[in-house]
Amino acid sequence: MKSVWKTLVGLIVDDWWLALGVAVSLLIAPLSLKAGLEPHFGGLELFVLLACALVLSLRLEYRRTTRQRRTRRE
Amino acid sequence: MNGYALAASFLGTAVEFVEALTIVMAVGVVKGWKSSLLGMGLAVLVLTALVAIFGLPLLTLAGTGVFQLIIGTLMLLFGMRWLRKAILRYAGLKALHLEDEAYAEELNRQRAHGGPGGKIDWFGFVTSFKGVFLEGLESIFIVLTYGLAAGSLSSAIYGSLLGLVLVVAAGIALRKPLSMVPENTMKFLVGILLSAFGIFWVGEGIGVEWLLEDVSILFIAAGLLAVSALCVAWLKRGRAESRAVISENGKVEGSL
Repeated sequence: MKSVWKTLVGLIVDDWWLALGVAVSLLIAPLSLKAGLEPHFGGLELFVLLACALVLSLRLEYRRTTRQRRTRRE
Repeated sequence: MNGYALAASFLGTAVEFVEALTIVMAVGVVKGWKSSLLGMGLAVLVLTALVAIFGLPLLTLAGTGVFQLIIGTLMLLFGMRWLRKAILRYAGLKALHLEDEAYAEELNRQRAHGGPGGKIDWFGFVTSFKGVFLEGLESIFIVLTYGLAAGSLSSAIYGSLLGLVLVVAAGIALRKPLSMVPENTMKFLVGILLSAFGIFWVGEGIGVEWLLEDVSILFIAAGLLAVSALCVAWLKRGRAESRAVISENGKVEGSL
């Protein structure tokens, strides 16, 4: 059952940093709107937050990959 | 008929069908076609039941804010996952998915488990079932989300059926995995489309007012394309600099 669940979750999430970034973006964007942000700018804010989440996830993957290569080399 | 949903669904599901076809063919060649096709048939039956049980009731919720938020979030997670993977592949940080290699790998795995056993080879049957089920699950997800988001489920279904017919016909005609299909490019495009639609829908769900309404999706997609291109260039440069450091000093130093 555990492996079935892991497989199903893996279909949607394969990097937890990206998932965390998306979750934080989805939390901040509505809060900003409630705090009085112009609804027209809400979309731009959401896009920027999600783009940052993607970049963060890629940067961490890059660091992980280079670290693995360094370890293998040593 | 919604052309956008039809094209996006066609692209997204065709990639999944190509991957499923590779597994079914490899199992069929080594373990016999009976085991392979039975596994595939059972997976299709289970998937049909899942759509009837969970997919169709979703239609009654379509149009509500909560529904937009849930579907949008799922599209976003799924799309960004594909986009991230495609960027890493273009940058050379992740191995490209090549159907020829996947086919050879599956053939070896099946052969290592021995020849066909009895009337039905259970290892082959389970492999075929699992492969078709998992790829099919992703296809159903793509069809449902695109179809519901565009308000035209039939367009998404037609797109998917078109993909299925073309992939199966090509598989039967060529009798080998469809390695000429540009899978990574297709996944990259579908990742961008899913993410763009997801951002739009999540925005709608939380109360964003899009200046250009539906047309905003095209601008979001263009923005994602630009961000992705920059990320690929940035990662490639970092990788090249790391390699230069390795050749000079004999050790890796991350430059990003």
